Amino acid sequence: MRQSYSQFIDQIKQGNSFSGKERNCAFLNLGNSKFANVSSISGLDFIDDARGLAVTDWDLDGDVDLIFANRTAPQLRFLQNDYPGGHGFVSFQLVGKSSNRDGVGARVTVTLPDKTSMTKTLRAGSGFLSQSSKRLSFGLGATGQDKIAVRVDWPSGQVQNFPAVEPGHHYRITEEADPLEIVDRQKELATALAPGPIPNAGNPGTVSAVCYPRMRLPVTPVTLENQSPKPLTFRSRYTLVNLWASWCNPCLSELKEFANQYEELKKLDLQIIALSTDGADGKSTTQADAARAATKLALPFPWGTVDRSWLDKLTLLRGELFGLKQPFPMPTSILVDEKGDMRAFYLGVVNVAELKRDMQKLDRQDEAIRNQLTSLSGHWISVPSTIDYLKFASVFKTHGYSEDAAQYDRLAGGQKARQYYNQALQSMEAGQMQMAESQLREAIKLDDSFAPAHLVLGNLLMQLASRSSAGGQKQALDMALREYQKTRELDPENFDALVGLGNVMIQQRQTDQAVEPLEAALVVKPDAWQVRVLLGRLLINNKELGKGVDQRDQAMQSSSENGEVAAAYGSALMQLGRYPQALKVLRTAVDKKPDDPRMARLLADSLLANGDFKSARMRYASALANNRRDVDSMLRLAWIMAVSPDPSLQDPAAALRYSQQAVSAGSNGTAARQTLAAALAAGGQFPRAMQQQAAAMQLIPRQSSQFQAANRRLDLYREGKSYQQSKTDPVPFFPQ
Amino acid sequence: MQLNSLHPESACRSALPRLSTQSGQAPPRATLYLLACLLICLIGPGCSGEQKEKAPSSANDEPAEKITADLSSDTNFDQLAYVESFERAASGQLKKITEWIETGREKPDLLDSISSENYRAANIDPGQLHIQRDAGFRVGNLPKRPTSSPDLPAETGESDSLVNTWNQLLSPLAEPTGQSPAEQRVKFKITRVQLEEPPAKTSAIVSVFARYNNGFSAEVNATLQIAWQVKAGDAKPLIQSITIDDFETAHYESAEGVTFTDRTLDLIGREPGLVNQFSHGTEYWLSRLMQGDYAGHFGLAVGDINGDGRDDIYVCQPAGLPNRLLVQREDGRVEDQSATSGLDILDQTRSALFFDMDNDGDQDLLVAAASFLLLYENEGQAKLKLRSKLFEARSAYSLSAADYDNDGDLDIHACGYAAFFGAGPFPFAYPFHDANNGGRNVLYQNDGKGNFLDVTNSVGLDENNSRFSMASAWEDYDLDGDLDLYVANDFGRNSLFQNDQGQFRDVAKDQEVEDQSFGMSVDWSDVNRDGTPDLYVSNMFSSAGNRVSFQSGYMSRQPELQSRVQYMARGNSLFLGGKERFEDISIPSNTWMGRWAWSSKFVDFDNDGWDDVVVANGYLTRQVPDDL
Repeated sequence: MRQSYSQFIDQIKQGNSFSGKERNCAFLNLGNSKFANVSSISGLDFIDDARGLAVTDWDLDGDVDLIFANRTAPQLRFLQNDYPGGHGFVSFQLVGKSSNRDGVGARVTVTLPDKTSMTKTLRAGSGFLSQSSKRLSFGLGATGQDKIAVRVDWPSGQVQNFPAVEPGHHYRITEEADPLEIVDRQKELATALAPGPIPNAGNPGTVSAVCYPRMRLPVTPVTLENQSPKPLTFRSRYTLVNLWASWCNPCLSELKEFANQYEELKKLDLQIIALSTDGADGKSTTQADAARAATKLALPFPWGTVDRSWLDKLTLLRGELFGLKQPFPMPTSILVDEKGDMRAFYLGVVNVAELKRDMQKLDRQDEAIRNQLTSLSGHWISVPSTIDYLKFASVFKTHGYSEDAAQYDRLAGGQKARQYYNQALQSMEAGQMQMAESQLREAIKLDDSFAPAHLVLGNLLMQLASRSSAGGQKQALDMALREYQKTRELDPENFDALVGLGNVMIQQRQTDQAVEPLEAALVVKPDAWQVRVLLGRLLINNKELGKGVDQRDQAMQSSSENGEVAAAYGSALMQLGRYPQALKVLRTAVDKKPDDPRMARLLADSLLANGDFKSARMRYASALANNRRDVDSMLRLAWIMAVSPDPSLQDPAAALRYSQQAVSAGSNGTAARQTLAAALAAGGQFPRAMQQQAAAMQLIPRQSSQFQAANRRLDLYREGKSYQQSKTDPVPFFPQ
Repeated sequence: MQLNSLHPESACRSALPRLSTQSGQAPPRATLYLLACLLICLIGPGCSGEQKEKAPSSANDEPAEKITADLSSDTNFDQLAYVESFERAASGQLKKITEWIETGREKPDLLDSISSENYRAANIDPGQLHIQRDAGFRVGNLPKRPTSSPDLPAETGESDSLVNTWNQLLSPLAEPTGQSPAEQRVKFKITRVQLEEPPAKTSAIVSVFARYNNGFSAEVNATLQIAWQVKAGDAKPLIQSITIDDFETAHYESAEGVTFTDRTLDLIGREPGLVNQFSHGTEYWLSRLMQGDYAGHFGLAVGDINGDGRDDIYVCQPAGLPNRLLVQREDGRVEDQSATSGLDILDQTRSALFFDMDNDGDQDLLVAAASFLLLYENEGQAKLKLRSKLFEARSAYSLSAADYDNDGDLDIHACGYAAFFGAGPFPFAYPFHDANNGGRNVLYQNDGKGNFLDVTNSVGLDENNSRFSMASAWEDYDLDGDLDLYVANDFGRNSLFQNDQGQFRDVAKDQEVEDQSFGMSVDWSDVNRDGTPDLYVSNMFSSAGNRVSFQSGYMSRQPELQSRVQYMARGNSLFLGGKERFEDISIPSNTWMGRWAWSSKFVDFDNDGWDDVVVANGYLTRQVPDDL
């Protein structure tokens, strides 16, 4: 039985119809549990291979229209109901409250003036692969304008009754709410839709198809210009394997055209190999005919002949790849790359301009190729698939082509690794991390040179590291590092691997070493501003301030619209003491993200650094108003009130209060103590000021510019003077 | 039944009994032969009689080994082959009638050439037509007459001319003012062949349609018993008598001539991308894509995605072609918002479902892709965001949503069809008439916020849950306040899962709605307006299956199995609810012959308050026009 079944399938694969050209049916309910066949006079008996059928009163004219989805052309039929019978209608759109919002499962019963009823249930999904409208439409027959009674049984168990409803309207019924709302179409359609189906686009000329996923060409033994048969090899970037025959006139004109354009095609690194099927295709011509035709054409590119078995293999191939187990038409050309992978098929005469365009398209990333396999583009959700080489190995084995079977078996080995890899991606998505890890390790075991598996395993280990205990974390990081290194070995310009390396090293606190891979990553992707920001931070941490700022500058250039980048750049500029520039950048940052308190603080700091005490004071005050515990703003506010040269901003008492508050809130660093000292000095309490200042200076390394600035202030206090900051003061603007 | 993506197997090389060509006709073409073989094989090893299938242990209690062993001994393959070759010959003769009608009935020679010298048939008087209904559509029937009666009714008289008989049969197609038809179509299907005792008889369904330029159209649908004179040698059979089994005529009159008019081009015409995509069939795209699935099982969903009160359409497409979101504009035409909505998915997707998953008042979308369901959340203005993938339902076909646990949110049921995940061999349905080795259907419970949990097993739905399910639909058939679920299965029996406060139990057998056939589609409605839900299930009608399975030489010692196969080839089923059990009225209601049916819906298309039935059908129209 299994065999007869698969033989039957084979018949279909060879292009046989099966219950084809059947006409759709329509049965008219005669009201007595009998139906009349009205398939034709209803206008529904299209000969399509129909599949889906959805029902909707599309135009809200009171009768229901139909939409068919077909396998055959046209794939879509919108059938508007033109029934002229003068029957009444009413329709309901349901809004559930206690019940589900869509009202699915609600039963609506309409009772006509003659006391007969009809009931409909709202469903989501019915028929086959189809969903009809959620508007429940009722035909009312010849009831005239008499009112009808409507009852709704909601899934919640609630019942609503509307004893007198005017027919001829579309209503919305909301559970637990009265009354009915009329939601008729606001305007009549300005112009009725014109009749006419989508025209059948008919039989196309040349069919061109991208070979995706790519697949190795079957072994192709050819006899090139009277040499002995040997398998084809591919040395050019692309080779166009062209099938022709001396009896095929379009083939000969095509060859002529190839010959004319050959020089130009060679410049694109395209080779042409013309393979004649004469003597192998069952026609009466012979290889000698092919030789005569080739001589006459004076082909500038290699040509040869193939045998029957190769054509047979191509037929198998077509059956598997395109679901049509028939010989390819003549001419057919296959575009093959230097690996011997098929990349495109041309069934019919090749348009050379199109061929050139295709070669360009095929040079794009796989993802881009995949997103536009036909003239129609879109996007994929599932991960890219690969050719199922195991299947081809089995097909070719069954038909006695052991050499091809061996080739595909070999390719399947590497592919199995890719299968594990794809499964791992799905496992990760489903949150099954341990499963993913073991699948990735299987993939690597099968094919250690499969870079993506190493990369993803690295990423996975990083994720695991972030969740594990300290010991586990160290181990996971070490393993991740190895995976990234391996990825880099296999694929030196793999951006993700380089960034991954940098990340691991940062986590391992090897910040010096992390710089190198991140810099390498930026060579691959100069626009990656996140990496620049990260690298900038790293360099600044590593005391390579200038370089760090430089990175952030570049990040800013490649992503000027990004507030985060601007903030990072601004803060780097601040650390470098380039205050005016920092102010400018930070203003942009705050513009981008006006509600971000961190950026607001940075901006206030830069205002302070630029000596704009007034604006700075305002910003700190408002930050403090937003957050009473904002110690940093508290201290800076106190600082401004103590040291501002502008008398209107001075307030020694408040300065003292704020700085004491900050200190009692636990802030006992040098900045807090120096601020307290400045406030004390401003209020004339010099001994206490000196005491605080001296204590603060214990915390600062001697020799630093910070220390010198602090020392100068201590001298002032000693002299019984308070400190007033001026714009010309050397850095820093605020005790650090 | 669906037959796609099968793993290639070696061709059938077993010793099939050779078809004899006793009638002198050319042997039936390979496909026809294979179909017969397939039907023979429905139960048992068929063409490989001696090679027993290793049957997977299945839940059903049929002794599979025993059946396979028995088949070849009680099936007369020679008889079946003769039947099929006779059908070819008879169909060839009936084509002459088609040609005679379609050429304006002006070539009587065509009929004379297929008529026996002693042709005789009872007169058919259109005056006997009993008008059953006279509003909008007009329908008339001849009262059914016993086919076994050898006596022709005396009062009607006799005709000795095939031309006369056919003119009588076609007289209801005449336009009242005598116009000539602008279009005529004829289709014969031979559904029974009786060759065991003379005369040879065939039962044929004939449909004739005529359309006139003034908006009048008419069709005749009849089942005819045709008796043939079979001569020795290569001579073709000749018609010697025609009796009517069933006869029905229907008229329609309106400006357009038919009820429904195709206005798709204007609907989508402003979107050249849509026109390009849909003006080609999936075969066209298949020849450009290595992803294709020639069975073409791609559906559609209607829903109001932007809440403007007008329905929109989402069309599912094969792998490599973008799905399309057609948003209705104020003028009733559509705008292609596939890309802007984020729904131009290239993955193979079979179906989709609009529903409000989180009760926030807008329509979210569920899409059945090959390896998972995609759950899209509506973010307003017809922008959707992929929120999650549901991995339990793979290779899903039809989707449906209902609040099975009455907790105020919509839960999802997905039909898993086959346990086939894109690689490796396609699972082979076994046994064909009662397969339970398909993919798993999944019921997802909604937590109210659009998070879904597979509760299939805990609610009792894992019973009969791997039966190659094509479609499911919810209805509270027992009117106890919770929704029950009917599941239509390919290759065997269907399920009616009765919901008792959130726990399900398959009651299809008790309710007599197992409908053991090739279930493709299910819909519910109250067709007889008695207040209880009725059920329509679509299946595959097969002429060849009918011809073969009714032969005495087909499984002659297993009448129970024979009648089961006969049932499987019967066609669609209409079950009336409301009594203790459902009542099968498929045959008397005349709703069974839906051909190879797919989505089939109750639709009151003439707004008379009685739900009519529309059937989408046709399996594979490919390059070789071998219409079985």
